[in-house]
Amino acid sequence: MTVAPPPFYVVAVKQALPAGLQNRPFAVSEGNRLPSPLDRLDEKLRDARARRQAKERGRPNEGLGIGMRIAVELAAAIGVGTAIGVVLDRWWGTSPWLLIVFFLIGCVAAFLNVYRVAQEFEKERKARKQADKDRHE
Amino acid sequence: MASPLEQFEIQPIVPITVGGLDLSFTNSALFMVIVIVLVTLLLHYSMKGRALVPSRWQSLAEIFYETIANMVRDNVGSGGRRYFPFIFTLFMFVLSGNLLGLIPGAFTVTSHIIVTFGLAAFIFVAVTILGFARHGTGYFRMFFPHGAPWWTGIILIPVELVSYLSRPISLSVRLFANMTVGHVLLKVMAGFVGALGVLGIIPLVGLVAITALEVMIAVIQAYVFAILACVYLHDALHMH
Repeated sequence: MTVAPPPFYVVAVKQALPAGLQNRPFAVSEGNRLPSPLDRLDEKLRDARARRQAKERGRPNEGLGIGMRIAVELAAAIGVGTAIGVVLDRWWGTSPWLLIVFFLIGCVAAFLNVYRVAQEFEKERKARKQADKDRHE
Repeated sequence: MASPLEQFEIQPIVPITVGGLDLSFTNSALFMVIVIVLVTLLLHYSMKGRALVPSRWQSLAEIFYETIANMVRDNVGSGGRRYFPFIFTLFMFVLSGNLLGLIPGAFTVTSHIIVTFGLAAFIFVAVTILGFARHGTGYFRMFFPHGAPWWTGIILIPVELVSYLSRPISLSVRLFANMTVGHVLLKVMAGFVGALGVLGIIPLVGLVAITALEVMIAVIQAYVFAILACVYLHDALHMH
């Protein structure tokens, strides 16, 4: 026995739909069960939640922002270290020893800052990856 | 041709001198007032309807609110909601200052390091006071990593101290440098448009692209400024 062709209005509606939706069975579900609007609701909810989380975690600082942050972080720490050295030297008349010491301390602090920034970005990247995975599951 | 740095000149509009101090109302101050008035009007009138289904303007205000609310929740953690008004004000001021400066002829308030440093220094001092108020002398542990042998403190404490003190510098220099560099670049490119005659179309195309980039940078830098303020608040409240 062949399947009866769908009524003319179903054909008309299907043709009016965009190409991607044309072959979707609509209003026809497995068995004789009436389609419920709650079908697939769980899935949709989970999708929406994952999308929202991903959006919340995603921050608009891409390569440019990262580069700028690291560069400024380096310069700032070395600058502050050197400035402290110069000021203390002037107070205590120990020129140039404290300048040298604090310049080196500033360099170490600069790398510490850069390390922390990198750590932050790494954490962010991992969170984004996890969110991607959640969405695809 | 005008110098590309001319746009950053401070000109007094209403000269005021109090006890030998120059307290003139300048073009910089004028644009700060414009920024504050614009933000206040925008938020006041866009939220006037308080509709369940928001209008375009209300959606805009809600986007700002939600962005900052999420930022505070994710970065400050528990007890962060109290500081939302401060972070929101900071973000709106910096964002509007950055964007308003992109209008030709406008003055960019955030292109002056004293303005950005003023904001950063306020955050730094406030966060430090908050840290000591919360943890008492325990806040000094910020400068010594937990669990390290005591003698490493000879090196670690100065390093951590310099790192902590460099925060307001990096915060202010980043915003100021981004804004200044962007505006100088735009002005230099614009100078080539006139100087090259017909070929000026090439820098003109570049100028359009850079303007788009500058809009993006203006938003990103405002966002980064606010997010770092949140991170520093987090450190003060929860100590790493």
